[in-house]
Amino acid sequence: MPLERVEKLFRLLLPPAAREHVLGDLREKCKSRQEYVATALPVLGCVVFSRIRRTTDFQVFFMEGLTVYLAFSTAAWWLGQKVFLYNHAGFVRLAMPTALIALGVLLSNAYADPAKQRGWAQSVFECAGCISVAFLSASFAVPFEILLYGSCISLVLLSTLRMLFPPILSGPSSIALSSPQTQIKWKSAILVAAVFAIVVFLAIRR
Amino acid sequence: MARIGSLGQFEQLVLAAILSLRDHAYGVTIHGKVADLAQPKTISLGAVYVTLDRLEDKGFVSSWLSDPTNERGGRAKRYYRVEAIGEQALQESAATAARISEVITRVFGRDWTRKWRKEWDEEAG
Repeated sequence: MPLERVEKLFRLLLPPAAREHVLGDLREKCKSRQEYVATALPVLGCVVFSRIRRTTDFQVFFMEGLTVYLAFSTAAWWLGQKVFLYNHAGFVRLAMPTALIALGVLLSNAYADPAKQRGWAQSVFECAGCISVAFLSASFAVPFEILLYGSCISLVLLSTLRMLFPPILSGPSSIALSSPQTQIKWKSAILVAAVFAIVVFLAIRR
Repeated sequence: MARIGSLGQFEQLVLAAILSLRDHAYGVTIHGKVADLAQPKTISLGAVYVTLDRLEDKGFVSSWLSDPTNERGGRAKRYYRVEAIGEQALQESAATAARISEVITRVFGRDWTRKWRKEWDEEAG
């Protein structure tokens, strides 16, 4: 494969915010295709990790994860799947679609383009993408009905959360985290955690 | 005086590299300089990017994109500059390193320190 094609491939894989200068640096530094691939692969991992760290507010991420888990637990409870929940490690298995959606959220934060305006449609589209992947991947671990209803509830709640708290795309993340909004986010996270704990407590008592 | 966040060893290397490169500090040159300073250790380009992002988050450096150049396939360079707070943090780190060096010299003696430095320089090439 010629160097130009390898470069095009990495262009697709790199987050848009780091694309321009990282590709330029790699082109300047690497003369052969082998050298390019050997240098670019670890760089890709580091750049994605760094973008996740910069764009994700981990208080909001915690809140989003809990909300999704709560959505799937509620769906299971509402559908009367008590045998699944209690006898088939249902509460543990519900963590699988939640983890997949959480991973999708992290990656969509990292790959969000700071140059583009974010609207409600983008939030819904990103959430739908993450939830669809989780829906398809977790179908062997969680019954179809629970996945379907849980995904629908997750889509509504997660899109709303992402509209209220979008990824940090402009400026250093430390500035955004030291804003007065931080306290409000912690309170919201604690509120969601409290509701979640009450639901789990009631479910276990019954 | 306001307290400045502390710097890790790799952050010190990256800040020192940017400071010494002045107006030519961008990914490739910073990586080259850090690799020189960190010898005999090998440094990956990815680690430099992660550290540059972290230093920017802390407010120690600022960055901007230049115009695209042909030698880089028409891509722009992201230049970095050390901010006043970054210079202050680096000065504090340098002062601490000097104190550590002083203690080592006092405990092990000047001859041992000279010998150790020579061995280290030989290893670094």
